Amino acid sequence: MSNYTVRVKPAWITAVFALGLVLQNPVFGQITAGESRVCTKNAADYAGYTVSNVRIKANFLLFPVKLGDITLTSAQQAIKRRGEASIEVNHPFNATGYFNLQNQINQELSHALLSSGAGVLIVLPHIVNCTDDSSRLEVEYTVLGLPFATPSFSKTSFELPAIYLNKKKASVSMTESSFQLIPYLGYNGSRGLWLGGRMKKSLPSKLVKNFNLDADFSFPGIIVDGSLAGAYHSGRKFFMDHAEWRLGYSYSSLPAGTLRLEESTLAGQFSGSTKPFSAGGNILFRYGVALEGGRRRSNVAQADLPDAFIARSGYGAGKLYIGGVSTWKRHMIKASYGLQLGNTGRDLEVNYLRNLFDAAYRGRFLITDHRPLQLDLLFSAGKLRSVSGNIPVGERFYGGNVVREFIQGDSWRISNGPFIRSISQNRLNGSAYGLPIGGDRYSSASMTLSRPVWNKKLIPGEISRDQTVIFGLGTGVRSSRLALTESEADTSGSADDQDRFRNYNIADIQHLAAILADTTKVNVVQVIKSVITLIQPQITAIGRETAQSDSLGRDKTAASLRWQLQTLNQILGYGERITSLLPPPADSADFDNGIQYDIESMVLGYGNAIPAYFTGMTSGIASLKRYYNQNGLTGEWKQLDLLSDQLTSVQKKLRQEIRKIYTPKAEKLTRPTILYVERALEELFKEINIVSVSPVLMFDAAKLHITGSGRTKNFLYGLGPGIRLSLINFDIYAGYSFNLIKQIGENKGAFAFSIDITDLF
Amino acid sequence: MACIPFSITLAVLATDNKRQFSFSINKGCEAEKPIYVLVFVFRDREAVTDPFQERVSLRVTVGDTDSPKAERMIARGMNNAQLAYLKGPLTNVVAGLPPTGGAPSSDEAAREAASQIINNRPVLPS
Repeated sequence: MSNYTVRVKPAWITAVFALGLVLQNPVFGQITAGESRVCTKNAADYAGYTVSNVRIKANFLLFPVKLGDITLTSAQQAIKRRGEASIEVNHPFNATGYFNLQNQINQELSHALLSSGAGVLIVLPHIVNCTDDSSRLEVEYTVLGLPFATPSFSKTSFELPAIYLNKKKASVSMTESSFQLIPYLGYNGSRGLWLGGRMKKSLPSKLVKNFNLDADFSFPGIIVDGSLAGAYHSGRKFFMDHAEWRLGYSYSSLPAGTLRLEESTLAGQFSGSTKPFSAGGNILFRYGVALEGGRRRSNVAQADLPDAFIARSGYGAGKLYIGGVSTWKRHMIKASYGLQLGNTGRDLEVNYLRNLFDAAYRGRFLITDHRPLQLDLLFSAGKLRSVSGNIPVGERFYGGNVVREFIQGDSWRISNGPFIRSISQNRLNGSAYGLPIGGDRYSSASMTLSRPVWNKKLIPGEISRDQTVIFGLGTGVRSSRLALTESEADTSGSADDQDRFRNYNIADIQHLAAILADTTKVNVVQVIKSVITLIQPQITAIGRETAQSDSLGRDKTAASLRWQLQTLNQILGYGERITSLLPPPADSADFDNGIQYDIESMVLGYGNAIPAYFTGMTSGIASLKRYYNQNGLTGEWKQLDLLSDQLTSVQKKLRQEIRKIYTPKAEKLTRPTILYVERALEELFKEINIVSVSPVLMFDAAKLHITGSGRTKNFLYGLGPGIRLSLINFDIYAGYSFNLIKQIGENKGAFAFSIDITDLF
Repeated sequence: MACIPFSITLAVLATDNKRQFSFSINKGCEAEKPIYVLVFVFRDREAVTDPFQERVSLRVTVGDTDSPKAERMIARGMNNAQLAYLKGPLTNVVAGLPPTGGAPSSDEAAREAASQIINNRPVLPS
């Protein structure tokens, strides 16, 4: 759930719109079209077969690509213009054309990748669904691409979308469309039903990059917010890695129980963020200022207001905030402090002060792949105090299941009131006549717990578990790490540091290599040979059984067997990879600092998506336990387990030693980017679902203090169930929260709806 | 182990933000023996505010005898010496060629220079 702000814009229309987008998009359609059966012979063996379909599976491109850029037609035409062989539907298959098309698709996508700055791209061709009887086959090119951007504010803040659904671009993208129009429909007990729309248009100006308009109407209630916004990204300056500015006007007229609160505000805003830095996880700080002017009105009689509050006045404010966010693995925590110097428009005095503190935590616990338990915790507190003069009554805290933000439209959201989902908008102080009007202090806390019970993975298992993809990504991440580190050494390292990066400490690397080569405790080569010897008969046997099940049409059995076979082949692949990367003798001419990267690939890896080769072997062996026991192979399993323990002990020792060796400054500077890439891949491979449904448990507590009224409310509690529909990172919540302590004049509870865009990366 | 066709591309932006290159290794499996094609694309711009212009692309097919080196590069990625060669000598050779407008260059010397990258310690051919 969105931390605190929860611009609860109930969203049936948006939900239908977004769901329609996903289901109608042909690219999404491809991924949901069922699994393809991969044909295993060499391409040349299929010469002459008729090609019944050729397609690009571009579901995993995270850099901007127009679908038009990667159509088969454009690739095929480019090949033809060179007079080379290609492959086309209803034409005979030829292996040369198959490879040429792979090259051409890769080349065209490389240009798109270059447009993103830097990154890695993988193209994996497959011949699928071949039928020997009719001599027909299909061809698939699976494409996966990832930009290597330094994690910036937009990747580590809580609320900003990192991935967009866009019909005109690749199925998921990190780039917004130049024009967005999103209609929505909402409901809450205070405003009733409302209809709204959000529009964003990119502008070709360096100073003003976007025009934004967000408006919704109901009976009673209206909110209109329009702005011109710009941004700057230096990518190098620590204190201002990213900056944004905004000039906007907003008008709202909203009910608060029996009252009506009206606001009109002209605002100029500036915000910035530091460059992320690594301290166990990624950390960055945000800051911002805003100058606002306008009017505040309400329909309450002045006589009914507490001292120091006025019903109608001018409005001026200077706002500033500082905040920070830290992400580590699947956890994010953020905290903000906001200060408002308020004025009623008569002079330049500070008439009142508003202090806000806002904190949030989000944790995802991956109990099983693609079904994480998500915990959101929010805490917010605020105080309004008169300094000299009056305070507009609309500035008081009202609270409920919709809370407006401290600085409207800013990308860093800070809650500006108590959030409790069991009470309708602006009704925390009660809605009956004669009750106090708003509060001048508050504190609130919320918890939301959810876990998918049904899901469809964005990246199917046959790709996320494909060792060619995993090894290819590993190669890409490793090469990019080298390139980025080299670049950092060029720009920010001292001569000594550059030298130490380029030459490393050969003695350190030799020490690591010696541990691997030490056969007195564990002979790694022999252990791997023994594992392969033990699993090879099962590979042969399961391969045979799979072929039989396929021929008998037992699809479920064949799929289950293929899963086991893939695990066994993975163990084999990791074993072969370790053997091929074992360091040469220390006095070899080929002994260089790449050996350290080799050893790190073996024992550290790059996150869960690209595991260490040792981990790949040992976790693969662990997952075979059930299969071996079920098939009466308990003895073989015990032997495998013992061998796995030996590999784990070497891995543990090497990890300890790697921590002790010198790390050049350039490597440390590259670390946040690599961590970000690791996390992005992990999300893609292990978590993201194209669609999922999760039950939700909501709990809120909120307290509103009303100074001078002779009463201070105790904490009120809301508890209730809900459901969340997630489309990629676009979340729609619906639920009902009950008031656990029902006050006079209050309802039993309230419906809670919201849309939230989860920042996955 | 069966031959698995595969393409991997690495795109890198130079520190000065004015030069950019991508390097691809394409592995094909037309028959029993794999075939490797290296593609190097170089782009540059006058000022960091200008759009990048593609200057030259190089396309090199790796001969049979160098297949193990290409396979090792696919497995390990680039080492320091290969990256330095890509960013330095090879980029300098390519930057001196006339623009090809996206089409692969036919300059034999440049293609020969690109083919050296699969060596553990590449040097420009004399």
